[in-house]
Amino acid sequence: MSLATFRSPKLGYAAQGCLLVALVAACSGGVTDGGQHPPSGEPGLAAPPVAAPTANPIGPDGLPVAPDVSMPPPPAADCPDTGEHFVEPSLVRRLTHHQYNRAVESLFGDTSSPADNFPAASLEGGYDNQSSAQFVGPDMSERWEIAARAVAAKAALNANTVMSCGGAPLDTCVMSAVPTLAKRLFRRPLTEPEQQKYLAFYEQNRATDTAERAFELTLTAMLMSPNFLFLVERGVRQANGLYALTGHELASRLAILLWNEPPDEGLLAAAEAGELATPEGLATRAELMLKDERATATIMDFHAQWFGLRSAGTLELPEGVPDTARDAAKAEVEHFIQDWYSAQGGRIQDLFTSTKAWVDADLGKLYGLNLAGGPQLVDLPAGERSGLFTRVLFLGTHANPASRGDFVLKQALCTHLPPPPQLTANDMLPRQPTETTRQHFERHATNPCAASCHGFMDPVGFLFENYDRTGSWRTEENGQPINASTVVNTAKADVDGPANGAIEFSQRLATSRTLSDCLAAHWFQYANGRQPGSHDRCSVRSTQERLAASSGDVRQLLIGLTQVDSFRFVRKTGL
Amino acid sequence: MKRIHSHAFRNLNRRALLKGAMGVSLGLPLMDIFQRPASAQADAHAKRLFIFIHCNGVHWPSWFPDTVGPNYEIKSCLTPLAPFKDRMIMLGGMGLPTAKGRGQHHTRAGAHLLTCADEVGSQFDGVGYSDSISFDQEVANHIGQSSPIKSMYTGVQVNQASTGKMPRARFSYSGPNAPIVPEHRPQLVFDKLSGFVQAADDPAQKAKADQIRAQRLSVIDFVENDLLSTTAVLGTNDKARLDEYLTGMRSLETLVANQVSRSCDKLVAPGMVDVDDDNAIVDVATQMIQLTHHAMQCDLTRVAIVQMQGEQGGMNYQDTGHPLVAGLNESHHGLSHHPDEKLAKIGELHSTFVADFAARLDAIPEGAGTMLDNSLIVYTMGLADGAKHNHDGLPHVLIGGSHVLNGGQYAVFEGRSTVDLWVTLFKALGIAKDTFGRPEFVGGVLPGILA
Repeated sequence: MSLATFRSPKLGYAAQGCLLVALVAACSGGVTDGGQHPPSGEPGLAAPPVAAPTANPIGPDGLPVAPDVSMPPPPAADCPDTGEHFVEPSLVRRLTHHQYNRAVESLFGDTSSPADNFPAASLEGGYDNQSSAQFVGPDMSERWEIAARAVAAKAALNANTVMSCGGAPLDTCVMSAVPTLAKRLFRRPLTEPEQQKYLAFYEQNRATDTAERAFELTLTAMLMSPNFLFLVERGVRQANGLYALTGHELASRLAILLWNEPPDEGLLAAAEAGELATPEGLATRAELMLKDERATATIMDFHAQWFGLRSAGTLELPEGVPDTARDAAKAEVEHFIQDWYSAQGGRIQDLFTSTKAWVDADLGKLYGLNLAGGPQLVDLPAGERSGLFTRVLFLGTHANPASRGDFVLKQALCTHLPPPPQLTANDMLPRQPTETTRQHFERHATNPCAASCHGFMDPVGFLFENYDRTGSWRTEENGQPINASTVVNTAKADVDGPANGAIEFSQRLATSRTLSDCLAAHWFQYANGRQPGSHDRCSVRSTQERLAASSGDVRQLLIGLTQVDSFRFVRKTGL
Repeated sequence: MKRIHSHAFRNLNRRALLKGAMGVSLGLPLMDIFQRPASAQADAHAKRLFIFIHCNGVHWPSWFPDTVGPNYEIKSCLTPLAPFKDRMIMLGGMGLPTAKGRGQHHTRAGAHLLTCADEVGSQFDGVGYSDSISFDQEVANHIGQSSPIKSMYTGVQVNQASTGKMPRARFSYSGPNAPIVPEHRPQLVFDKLSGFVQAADDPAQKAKADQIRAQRLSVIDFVENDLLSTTAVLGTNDKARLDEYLTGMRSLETLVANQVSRSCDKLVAPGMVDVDDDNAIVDVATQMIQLTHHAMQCDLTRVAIVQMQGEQGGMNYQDTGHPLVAGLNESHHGLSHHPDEKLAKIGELHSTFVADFAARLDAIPEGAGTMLDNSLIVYTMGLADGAKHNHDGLPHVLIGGSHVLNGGQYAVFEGRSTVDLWVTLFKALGIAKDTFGRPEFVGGVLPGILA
């Protein structure tokens, strides 16, 4: 099967045509939910789709969906429990670099993090685990081989231990050790033909080399197998054409989602005992796994990506504050998230209201605190700070109103802007020496071209005018008092309306269903490695309901993600 | 107007010359490039392609000459390239018609510059990946196949989503929706290149190396079979993704099978640098230039790209220690929004990297001239003016290729597509292709450029 057979060259035109239509709607009618929901649309959340008449529908991976699986999506409004299952077609995921490192560490005690040398991950919607962007070019194949050889060579030095031979000759114990290792690597038992192939490969190399070297080469082949590198899901075909995941495959999904690493022996054993066969069994297991400290890996990974921790290096700092403050600002948020999850109950509203912070002397200067020494727990001034959007990391990496507004709209409200228009002149008027940031941006927004985007971003960004480019609190700028009042207009009733300043807005955000639903949608994308499509509608809705019903408990959100069709079924194109 | 070459250094000891030119110690044996007979017919077409990608646009008054034609004036951005003035072509006027319309214009510059085609894939900020192979990869498919490394793509801070939102500007594509991720770590480029240098002539070591190679190939063969049996149970989407891996395995197989030792200079390991640190921009760029030069000098590759950061990249140059950019107390992206002499300094700095590469190639005699005369250097960008975020009248510079290009001129092709530049360069490289990208924008070979 060559790539060309379904990557129709027409797609580019079709996708663009579709996009342009959507944009015209967006420009005349306001902002859309574009980012969390593809053009296939989700009533109530996104503008209705305008299908390109000549092309197949576009799947979540941006590829056309084959006609033989274009079954109708679930009913729009209330997702009644009819016993029917729905899921959008997906694209096979591969282990992320982190998950690869964790796999070789837990199997071989190899802490060299070989995946750090893989080609950089491409991001999609800010996340590094999205299958549509997990391209496998020649460079990736080369690095996989390099890593496999290195890991296998090290493991072969302790072949007897790695294979649990207990002193038996390698040639004998390899018969049982290869299937045992393969089960951990492939996260399922080998099939009989597979087992024969690996053992034959061992014998073939044993004929010309040592037992250790033959084992090393066999292990290298396993580490390069698509069954290790990709989350291959065979599933069991159902009457409606969907594939129900096997127990082993569900164990993989649970471990990847809740621990951000491949399943351990205990989880695979639970799968074999049939404990994951029902939604109730999955929920019980998920609850147990969330009590394990490995769950912190997922919490940290999601929030690092959702909140853009990786951009800490671009943080703007005032004169006299050393560069190390960037790391301190990042560490502050990391510490906060960790404590929020493990000690503070992990309720999403607290992300936007808490004033707890771990601040050192340098970072303290930015918060107006006179501190000495390393990071210490402080209560930030409640009149100046409330949650993540008032922390130095966010404010200093999004140093102007447009950037701040854009981020809040996308990450907290799932409201997506029309892409910028084609400009014919400088979109940014020069700043006058006497004006405030806000006055500068307001002149900017009167430029009819720029206004089409900035008209949405800037008003939300003005809420943060009490913070300068470095995130320090201010009450005046250029001798003029700060004006941080604005009217939020995003077509979301529970956040819209007049607001004065980031504290008031953060607190409004914290209790809004819009925020709760938006975070659930972001989590869905992260958890499934893809944007939700129209067939995921009820899976998304159910996750959102569960989060809301639990008063914002992130653990319930995570358990909810294991209960829905998109977790338990896959839909394959062309089968 | 063809340049008459005179090489005063021809009688010098070549290794002494190279030692001086490279600033590094070169070991025995002689490079195999010198062991080949000089061939006049090699001059018929350029043999190599090097592309240097600059992002965020330029300050036009510091870049473009005031008058077109042969007596063009070199403005500040290009002063480092002045030694090559008579082997250089400055180009203006050409744009990217496929990139018109709404969208994130930085990202769009990446998807369109080398492809001149449409986009495919999901629409993050209104932009997808290209739906077509890029110029460099098309060239590599023709002239790179017999090289151990079909093409190389490296850069400085090209993967760091430094603004947190620009991960998607990708320039090079092996096919539709198949962006190539550039390598930003000089050490990893070095590791790959140094695999081609022979360690010793000892027969026992050679036998051991041969055995290891044979074993690697047997593993690769096993994995290829594994892939074929795995894809048999998958849906078409999944199959296609695993087919990408299979293609990668096949190219790795070729690489390993051809990883024969080359009588080439021992490569000096790059110094340790923090590739994410703005203060190391100049060091990393210099290392990438040196590594790419080594790969071309040793004929390990014939097609290479070096990219200076990503589109919308916000590198801050002021503490790099380079005198040109001292005092630029604003990020590159920030400066690009109000282009002035400060922004021009970054262009000038980037030109020093291109000039460094050109000088290195020019120091290696080849055929009836130097390696530079047989190579095309394309100094290019996908965004014209950072204030307008437009793709019209893009600045491009060609250097070298003296046997095939009509060097020493500034030419403007107002309103034409950059695809015509690629079509012209196909000719210069001896590649029989009259069209590329979206065919309706192809106007044909640019007049007056080819010798």
